[in-house]
Parts: sequence; C-alpha cells; structure tokens
Amino acid sequence: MIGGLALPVGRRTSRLRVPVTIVVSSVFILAVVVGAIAGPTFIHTSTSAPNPLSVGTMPSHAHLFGTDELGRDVFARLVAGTTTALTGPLIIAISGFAVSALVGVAAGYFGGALDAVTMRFVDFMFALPALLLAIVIVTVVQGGYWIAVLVLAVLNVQGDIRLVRGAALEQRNLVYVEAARVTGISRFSIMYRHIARNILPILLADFATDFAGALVALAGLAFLGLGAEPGTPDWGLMLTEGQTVLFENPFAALAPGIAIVLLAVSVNLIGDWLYERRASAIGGR
Amino acid sequence: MKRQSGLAGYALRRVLLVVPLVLAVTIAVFLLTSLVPGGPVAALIGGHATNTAEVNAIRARYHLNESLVSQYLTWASQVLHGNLGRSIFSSETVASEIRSRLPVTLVLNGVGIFVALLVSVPLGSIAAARRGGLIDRVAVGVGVFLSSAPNFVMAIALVYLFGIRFNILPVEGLGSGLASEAQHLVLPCVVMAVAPLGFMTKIVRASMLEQLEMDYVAFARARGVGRWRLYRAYIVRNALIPIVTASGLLIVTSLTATVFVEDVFGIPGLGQLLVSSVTNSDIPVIQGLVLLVALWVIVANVAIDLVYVAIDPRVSFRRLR
Repeated sequence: MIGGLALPVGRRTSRLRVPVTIVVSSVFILAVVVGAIAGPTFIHTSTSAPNPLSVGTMPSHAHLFGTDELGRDVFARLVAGTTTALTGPLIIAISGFAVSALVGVAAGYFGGALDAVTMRFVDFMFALPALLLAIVIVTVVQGGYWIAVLVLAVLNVQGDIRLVRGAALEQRNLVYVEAARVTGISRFSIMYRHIARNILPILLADFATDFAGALVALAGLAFLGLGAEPGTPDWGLMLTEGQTVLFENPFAALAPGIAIVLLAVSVNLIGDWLYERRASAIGGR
Repeated sequence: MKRQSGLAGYALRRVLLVVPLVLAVTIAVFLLTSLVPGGPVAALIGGHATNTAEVNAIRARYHLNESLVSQYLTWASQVLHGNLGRSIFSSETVASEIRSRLPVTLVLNGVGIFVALLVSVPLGSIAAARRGGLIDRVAVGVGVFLSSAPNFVMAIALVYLFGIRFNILPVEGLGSGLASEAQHLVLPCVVMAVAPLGFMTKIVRASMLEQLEMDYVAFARARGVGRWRLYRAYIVRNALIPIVTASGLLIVTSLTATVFVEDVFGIPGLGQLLVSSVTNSDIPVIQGLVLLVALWVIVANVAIDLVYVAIDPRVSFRRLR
C-alpha cells in the first residue's frame, strides 16, 4: 500500500528521542561487556578456590553477593561468567545473521524453486522442539559448551530466514529495486547492497532476538549439566549449583538467574525497539 | 478452486504427508545409537565393554551383525508392538517408565497452556483496543519480561519465595493424595504458564493491532457496525489465525519447559525421566522419549493445520505443502 513510497529506513533526524528503557538496557549490556573484557584485571578474588570456612554465607562487605556451596565468591564468579554468557550467544546470533542475510534475502528476491525449497526446510525446522533436540544431541555425542553452541546455531536459523525472506519479498516490488534493475545493476548488488541495507533494522532486531534466545538456551543446557564444564564460572551452572544453598544464601542461585533475565530482557527490548522503529519509519503497522 | 472436495481431501492429503515424516523420524531415532561414541554396543550396555565375549553376545542378541536395513526393520517391528527396550539404569521396560510418568507431564502442559491462554487472550485484546493506555503498557511489559525470563530462573525464584521465604507452598515432589498433589502442582503449573503467557500476550496484541488498522475496520465503523459486533464478527475472526498458529507452537515449546520445571520441583514426569536418562547416558530411554516427542510434535502440527482450515477456509487450500 504505502510501501510503494517507502523511504530508505535510517531517517534518524526525525526520531532522536530514545526511550528510557532502551538507555537503561544499553547501559546494562555495556556493563556486562566491560565485565567480560576488564573483569579479570580488576577483580582479584579467586573464582575457583573453595573456602570450606565460609560456605553459603549471606552478602557481606567481603563478599558482595555472599558465597556459594563451596565458599567461592558469588560476585567474582558472576563477573567471570560474563565471558561464556556473551561468547556463545554472540556466535549463534552472528551465524543466524549471516545465514539469513545470504539465504533469506536470496529466497525472497528470487522466489521460485529456491524460495520453495528454503521455506519447506524452514517449516520442517519450525516443527522441531529445538532445545529438546539440543539436549538429546549434546548428550548423545557427549559434547560440552562448544557442541551446544554449534547445535543451537544450526537449530536457530529457521526463524531468521523466515523473517528476512518476508522482508526481502516486500522490498522486491518497491520502486527503488525496479529502478536499480532498469539501470542494469547486477542482481547480486541489488540483493546484498541495496535490499540488505534497507532491511538492516530487521536483521539487527533478529540478531537481538537470537542473542537473547541463545543466552537462555545455553544457560538452560548448562543448568542441566550439558554445557560448560563443572567448576567453570558459568551463569547457568551457578544457578544449578547455587540451588543447594538456596536456604543459606539465596543470592548464590538468584544472582546469576537475575543476571540472565536482565541481559535477556535488555537485549530483547532493544531488538523490539529497533523493529518497531523501522515499522513506523515505513509507515506500516 | 475445488472447494467441494476441499476439506476432506485436504485432511486426507495432510495426514498422508505424515507417513514419510514418521519414517524419517524413526530412522533418525534408530540411528541415534550409532552416534554414541563407542557405537551401539556402548549405547546398549551404557559404557565400554572390555570383554569380547560379552560384546559378541550383545551383537548377536541385538542383531548388530546384520545389515543396517534389517536391523531397522527388526527394531521398528518391536516398536510397533510397544517394545521400546529396557532402561540400562533401572532395568524397567522403557514403555512402562514412560507410561507411569506421562500423566503428570500432560497435566503440567495442559494447565500451563490453558492458564496462559486464559490470561493472554483478554489481556492482549484489551491492550490492542486501548492502545497506549495503562493496560497496554502493562501488557507490553508482561510480554517482554515474561517471555524473556527463562523458566528455570522463574522456578528457582518461586521456590525461594514460596518455599523458603514465606513457606506457604510445597516445592519438592508430588506428595500423596489428590489434595496434596494439587497443592504440589500449583507452583510448577504457574511456571509452566509464565513464558507462554508472555509470548501469547505479544502475539494477541500484535495480531489484533494489525486487524484494527485494516481498511475494512474503518469501513465497518463508518457503516455504523456496532462496536461489539465489529470485534466479534470481524476483527477476532481474522486475528484468530496467527493466534492459533502461535498456540500450536506452545504445544511444542511447553514440552521443553516441562524438562526444567520437573527438574527444579522434583516432579516424577517425562522431563525428569529425560534428565535422568541424559545424566546416566541411558540411550534406550532417550530413544523412547525422542520417538514419543517427535510423534507428539507431528500430531500437534497436523492438528494445527486442520484447525486452521476450520477457522479460515479462505487460505487453507493454497497453504497446502
């Protein structure tokens, strides 16, 4: 409808106001990233040495979030856990981004057989309970964190492909694409330079959704003992292990849990915001 | 369009499409044992056999020396007779293990989805009808927060709050007797409902908003169609399609949620069976569960497609794959 007149998306000048929730979310994500990069330089409390004299103590001056079932400092482990919390989800989100940008755009632009095959594949993948499948595969091949990341990366692409393909399909009939075609610009260039750039907000919103989903999924696998090695400071693992001292120091389990929720919510909020901003820029729903 | 032969023909073709899918799934489940490091023998006895005589005995007993195809046929005919093998860990048959744990898992899934729909459909609809209002903001918040919060975190938080802090609800096991069981299932059911509730609120709100912005709504309003009738006969009917699709997805995703919920609350259901078989590398049990889940997913998907037809005869036949 109004799509025919769609302007290129990034009209930033007219929408400078950023909601408070987005600012807060960005600050939190930044804090996690800083924790992952600079954490080891600033926090010298050991994350692995057990201390049988202070097992499951409540938060105190010496231990900000108290200690866990082996007497290790929960805060230090929480900061150390930022690395695995970010790495796996980043890899999964990047692979989703790349695959959907390549395959999704091509399927939407070309249509026909390529599109049909892609969509059948996507429908099939959608019918699978991904996390359940990941649980089984990681168990059967007896893999750890990296196998989990690999499996989830594969089981995650279908949603991305579907969304990006839909967006590319919408763009295909717009005037600028027709103009580009008439001017003799190559199909490759139309797809990956023009269309991909115009649907970039969707790709980014998708990236955010993937990241949050992967964070939760990986934490879930670790929670079942199917991810990071026992003993590593990993949020999902801390959650399981901390359960044993839930009575003495609830923060041992709740702190990593809250960290997972906050990171997932922050990333999702930013993703939703990017998506809606793009939708209103086009004038669609 | 062949509308006449439509519904029955569509249903038949849709059901027939299941056959190759079931075949593929059973082959995949059958091949699961070969994926195990150490091969089928290791999978069947749960570890590496060192005794050659023992290995040979197992190979003979499970027909492992025959061709893969005849192995598959033997296995499949056993499965058809309800014989899924024996658990390495408990020595019970896999079928009886599954049968005794199925009911509680079904209750968790059913109640969870029911409660989620009961809350999310009105909440999402009102949010869309009063866009930008207080209820809308609450709905958006609920949608983002609840659908992002992983169920195992939610479960642990509730265990802490209700089991330890206020100590008003049981948080471990099932108890005995109907009243006690119901009490034990309150928190698990709440956790089961939480994520679908967030997800569905988002979907309902979005699909209602999409309809509200359609031209036909403006026309109907201009024609003087009453508010109630407009919603009931026009908007809800159209908005229902994505809502049904999403609810269908819930049947699949809830199954995963049960694994975590049963693990945290110590409920002896299928999820716990999966976790224990995973920790014990109890491959026969894993095989049985995967098969069950796969069939469940296939049936759910067919059911959704058929419900689709019932709601909206317009799109159905073109959607046939």
